[in-house]
Amino acid sequence: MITPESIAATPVLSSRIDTGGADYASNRAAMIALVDEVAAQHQQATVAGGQKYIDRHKSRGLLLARERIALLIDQDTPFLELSPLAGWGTDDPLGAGTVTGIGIVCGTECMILASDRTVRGGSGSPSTIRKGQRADEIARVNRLPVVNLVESAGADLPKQAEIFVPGGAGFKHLTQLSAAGIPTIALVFGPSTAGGAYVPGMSDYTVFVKERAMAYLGGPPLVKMAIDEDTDEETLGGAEMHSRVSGLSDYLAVDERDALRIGRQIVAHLNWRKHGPLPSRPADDPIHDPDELLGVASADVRIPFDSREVLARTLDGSRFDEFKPLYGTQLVCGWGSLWGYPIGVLANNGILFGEEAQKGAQFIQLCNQLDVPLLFVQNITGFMVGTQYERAGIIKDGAKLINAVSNSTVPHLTLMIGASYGAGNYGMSGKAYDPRFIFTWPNHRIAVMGPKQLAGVMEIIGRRAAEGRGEDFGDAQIAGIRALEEQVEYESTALFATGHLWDDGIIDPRDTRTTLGMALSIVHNNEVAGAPGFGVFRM
Amino acid sequence: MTIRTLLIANRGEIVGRVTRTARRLGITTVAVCSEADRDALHTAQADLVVAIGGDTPATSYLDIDKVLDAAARTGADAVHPGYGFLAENATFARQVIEAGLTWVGPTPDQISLMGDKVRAKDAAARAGVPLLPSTSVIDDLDTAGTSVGFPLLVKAAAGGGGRGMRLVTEPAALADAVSVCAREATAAFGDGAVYLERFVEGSRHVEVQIVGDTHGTVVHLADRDCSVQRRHQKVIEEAPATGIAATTRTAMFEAAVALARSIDYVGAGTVEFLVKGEAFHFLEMNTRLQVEHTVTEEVCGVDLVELQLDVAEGRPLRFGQADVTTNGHAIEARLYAEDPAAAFTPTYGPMHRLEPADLTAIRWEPGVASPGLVSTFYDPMLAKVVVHRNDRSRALASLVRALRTMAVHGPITNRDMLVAVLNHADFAGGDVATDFLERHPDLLDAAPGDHTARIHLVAAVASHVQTNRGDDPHWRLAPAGWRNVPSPPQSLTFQGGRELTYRIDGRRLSISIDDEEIEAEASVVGEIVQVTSGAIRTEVSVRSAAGSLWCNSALGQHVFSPQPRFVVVDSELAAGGPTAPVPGTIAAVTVAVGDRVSPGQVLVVMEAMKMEHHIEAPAEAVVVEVRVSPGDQVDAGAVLVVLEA
Repeated sequence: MITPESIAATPVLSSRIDTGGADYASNRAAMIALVDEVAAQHQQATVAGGQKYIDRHKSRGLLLARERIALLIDQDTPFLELSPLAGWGTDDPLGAGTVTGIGIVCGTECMILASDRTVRGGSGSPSTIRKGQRADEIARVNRLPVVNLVESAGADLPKQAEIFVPGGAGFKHLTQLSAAGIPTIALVFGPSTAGGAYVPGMSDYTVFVKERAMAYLGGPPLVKMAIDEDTDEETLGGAEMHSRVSGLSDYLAVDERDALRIGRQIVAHLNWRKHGPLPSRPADDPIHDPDELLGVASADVRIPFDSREVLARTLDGSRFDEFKPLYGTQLVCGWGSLWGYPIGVLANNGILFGEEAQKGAQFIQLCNQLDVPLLFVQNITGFMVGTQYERAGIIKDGAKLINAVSNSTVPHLTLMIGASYGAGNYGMSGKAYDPRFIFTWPNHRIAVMGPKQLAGVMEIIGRRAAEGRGEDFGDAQIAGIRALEEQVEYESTALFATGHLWDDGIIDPRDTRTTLGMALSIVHNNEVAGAPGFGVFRM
Repeated sequence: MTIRTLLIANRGEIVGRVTRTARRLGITTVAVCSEADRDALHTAQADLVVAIGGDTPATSYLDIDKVLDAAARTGADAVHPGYGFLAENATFARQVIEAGLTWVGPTPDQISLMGDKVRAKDAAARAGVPLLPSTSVIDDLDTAGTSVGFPLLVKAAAGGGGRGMRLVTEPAALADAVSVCAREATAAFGDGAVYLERFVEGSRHVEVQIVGDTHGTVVHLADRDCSVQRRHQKVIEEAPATGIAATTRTAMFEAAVALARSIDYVGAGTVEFLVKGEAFHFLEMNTRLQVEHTVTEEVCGVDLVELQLDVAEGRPLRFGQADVTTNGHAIEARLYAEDPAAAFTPTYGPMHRLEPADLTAIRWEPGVASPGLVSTFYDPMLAKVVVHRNDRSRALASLVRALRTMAVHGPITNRDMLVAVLNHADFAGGDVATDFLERHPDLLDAAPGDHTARIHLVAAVASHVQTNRGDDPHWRLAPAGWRNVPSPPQSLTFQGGRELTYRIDGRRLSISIDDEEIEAEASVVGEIVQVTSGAIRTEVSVRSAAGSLWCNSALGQHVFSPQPRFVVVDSELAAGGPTAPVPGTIAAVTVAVGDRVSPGQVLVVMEAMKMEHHIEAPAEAVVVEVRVSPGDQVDAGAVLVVLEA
């Protein structure tokens, strides 16, 4: 039992950072520059459609996607936007023409998806599909009611080849959510036609805005072509028709605001109950100032830093009960709490050796025994290499960690605070290991290995191959390697990663506690239960 | 005959006032209450309460039989009439005495003498009190008008307290004024007699408090200035009157005592004068305790209610005129539920809180409970606020602060006007006549300044946000309105349609309203909001009642009523009008274009499946189109009648 005495007896992390020192100042300056760069991109994403289309939308008296969301959620509550920079580094619009995120609607945490009509008419790009499907996945695994704010011109036709086949899964997900007892609500603000008509079609509840919402499989031109019938949009699929005749619409809303009101009322009646336990620990602020997180991470991702400095500015009361503190010291494991939710933490303090991997695997099993969610704090350049370590069985030990991570069933939250290279990404619950949420700091780097190492490896391989062929390894080849290094450098950035949906968003380090707190609250909508068993641990 | 149980035939603050003295003297008190007053403040102040039924004054507090019955049932041996209601009703006084009870007041004859304004003037004349030219002989209006002189007032003989008066500035308007006044007097007092009296423009209202005992002693207790009036009713009173020449004052005192003595007056009474310069003229005499008796008590150090009870019990006054001195200066402000900016229209409704910031700084005579109700049936006076200080300017400052800082969470009041009057340079300089408010109409819609409004707005928004955050069951630890991506600001609409948007960053609050940007820091702890703006911190208390946020600080009070973000729109109206629920035949159409319909009103009768369906109006609306006529076949969902809200 956690008693006041046990809370008082929990060690409190101290900080060794010299906030007056040069390192701190340069780290902080570097991080602020990155934070500003990301903020500028976030800002850009909100106007990705262009001012002209935003003005046109507003001149019609229509609300923008984020304005609709602000009205849908409870006043003054936060909104955790997900994948806001989806599409960065691709041909798709920044933000993918849709807003997804989690907000509180009538006291219920809901997944909200809102198409942004100002971006290419709300048409879907490949990134839109990936972003929407990630939102659906988060709703499914965390058991969140889904509210779709629909207003879409349909698929971006020039990109139909990338969209048509995978896009169909969205409708399947909607009905599967419903089958899993997760309510789905569609508030239709504008056209929802052709395939898009299945969003209301597959939802548990639908609200159509009078004179705005429109749903039909084929529009008037197509109907004319197909069966030579003359009709207009309102007759064919208007809100009145669907509310009074077809029954596709459950509620007819007078206007946009009314649709949001009705949507809120629907959520209010869901009788929603979280299946996970309530917070059970004191949720006092960390004793160290979270603002200092700006200067904690090394400006140079290759220089390690003590991840306890991050925990000291993130966990409740900076309390942290470390597990096996003297063993496998490059992986910090231990118990703490965040917003009162007990969590187990695994945080890198350097590369993973066999001891670290074994310690991590043991700790993950313990948290599964105890039904305690896990927080992975990644700053990892990989597993140790070299003859000595191969002989000692580093592969077997790494496998134990990956086994434990893969089969663990308590919620995982992953926070990227620096490097994420190699199999370390897997062992620390990277994207492919289905953490409930992954958030990254702007300094995050992710790749199979560091760009320099990768270039070096390529150069060695290239030189050997050239030697074998009796050819020169000249300037052209070296230039090719440098170009590859630059490409990998670019593809390793936090912006590139988030643009490709490798995470759920880049956060300001100062928001770490808030973001993780909300994430923890969200995961507790589903039950928190440890794994009944794991794969065979190779001994 | 010692009084043991005293019935107070009144309501409002005076019941509490009389009760306070009576209790101190060991007397049991009895209150009466009307149906509307069952939970009124005064019922909680007396020892016993008799519900005498009725809502209107006529069926309750003015019903002599009911009041006497209440006295009989509670074994009361004396009746204090307070002021207003039956206080100057000679019949009541007589019946009280005939019932064997002690009447706390002058004799019925004295009451009726002074109640008849014409006879009262005759009495004053006999006592040598200066009078304005007047006449009650109005058979020949030309002669009467000329003898009095213009401008003049036409007054009801049975009136008083400013009721039933008309100002006439030229002879041509006299005839009309007399007939209107007579008609009104008949309606109001049951007596159409009127008289003419010279009107002195720019005069002050100064009155002298007198007390007479049954042993022939009459003393005055100095004077009061009650010049600030609205609709001839006093709102600010002070003692002593300021800027009166000593000779005038002495002459006035002597005149008042002479009048009282000439009629062997017993009990507390007030002789009212119009004063201009060194001249003073008799206005009327009130044969009761006045609302503003408090300021006299403060400066003279007496308890007038105790004196009334002493006299009623037949005790001699224990002091003589030589013992009467005044000390310092006292001012009373009457807080009314009324809207000065709307011609002082009475206001009413729930009073959520009526609470001075510092009870030790003032004498507080409330007439309404906190929380309580301001009823439409009675005088809208909420409370009297009285201060007594060493000199007038101190008293003024103290009263301003007391009024400004008072929590008055309910209907619109005259508080801001009172503050504006007390702050006005003319008032401070003593340049006050009965037409003060008419000459300063800008004071009627006074309000705390823009700076105060801004500070209070910040406090209200901060408090509103805090409340909203408290309602969040999941993310309460996250900052208000937190976003990880730039997003629209939060918005809020206040009653009256004032819209604002705001952003919060920690303690920093940025509000945008009416093209104005307000930046401040606010920290909320319970009801207290510390607002820091321009490096100055102000403490504001923000309390919520009936959906409104009431902000109080040393700067004043504001109320903000956040409107709900959503309104329920009737879906039928939204569709344009009621539709046919099933396919069928129209049997009858009961409305026509242009009709105003009310909710539930039948518009169309339909027959379908041998059933009669009544199509009703969903809400208040106007019929703009009727799309069907009897005999028509309609499909389900067809709009039958188009309505407009």
